[in-house]
Amino acid sequence: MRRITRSFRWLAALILLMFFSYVLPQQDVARITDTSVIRQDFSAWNRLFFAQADAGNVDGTTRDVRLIESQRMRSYLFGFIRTGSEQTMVYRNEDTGWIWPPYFKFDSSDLQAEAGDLASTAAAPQWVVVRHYGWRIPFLTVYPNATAIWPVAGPDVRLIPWFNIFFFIALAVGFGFLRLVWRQFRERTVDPALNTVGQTWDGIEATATTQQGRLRTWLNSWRRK
Amino acid sequence: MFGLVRLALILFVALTIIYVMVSLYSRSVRKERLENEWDGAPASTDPGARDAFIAKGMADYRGSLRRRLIWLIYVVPVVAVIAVTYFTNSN
Repeated sequence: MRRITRSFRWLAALILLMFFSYVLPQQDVARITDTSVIRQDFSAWNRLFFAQADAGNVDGTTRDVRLIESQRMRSYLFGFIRTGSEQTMVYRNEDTGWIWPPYFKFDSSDLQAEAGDLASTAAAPQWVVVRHYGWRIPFLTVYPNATAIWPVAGPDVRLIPWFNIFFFIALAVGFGFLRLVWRQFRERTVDPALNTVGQTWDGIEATATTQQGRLRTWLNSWRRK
Repeated sequence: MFGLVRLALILFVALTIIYVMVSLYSRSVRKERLENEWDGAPASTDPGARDAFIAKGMADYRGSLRRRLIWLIYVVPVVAVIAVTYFTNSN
């Protein structure tokens, strides 16, 4: 039983980790090589990994998606470890609109223009930071969504994930507060109510015992002495 | 535009749940503190005096700044949404 509980807990932790790794912003140091537009015919498998049509448009089953092709610095462990080698990465560039995930991005066209402006070659590289969320899954034609691009001096720039730091601090504070609320609720509302119920039940039990005693006495009165 | 309406609705429902939770919690903590304060050094043995003391403390709480600050639960996320929208879409 304990093993089952533990594996469920690990599974929940894994799902939560994957959820955060998909939704929270990450920063890549990259060199934009090209921008393009492809038509995507979504299937049930990869529709989940795309946003909806640009803000103000109708969402169809097929639509054009802006892509930003790049060479990025290869990194591991959510971008904390960089090896110094390069890796091809393609980002999509879609409006998130007012919906999920809450980046409230409406300026995909402008971002595409900026990306085009910052495109460079291997011979004369212009390094940029691409802030994005999401995963690249080549087997399903899924791309991470770029939310911002800004130029940096070189590929060795140090990036501090301020948003994620604040996010996890806020999450811990919120969780601690929820525990406090729950404790207070239990101490002041649930436990007194349970006590009252317990006392009432004790009373019922006591009455039942005495009545059984009375019945028994009555029955016994018919027995031959 | 429908997306904005939906966001407003979802935010309103979620924030209302949080608001109710936090205000109940805050009131409960205040009441507990008043009770402990009285029980630590009772001014009289009359049980009516204890109730009056707590009732007065709760009446003070109802007009306090602390209770009004709970409205920030509605204000802060809306400001955050506006700020994120602005900074994401401005160049």
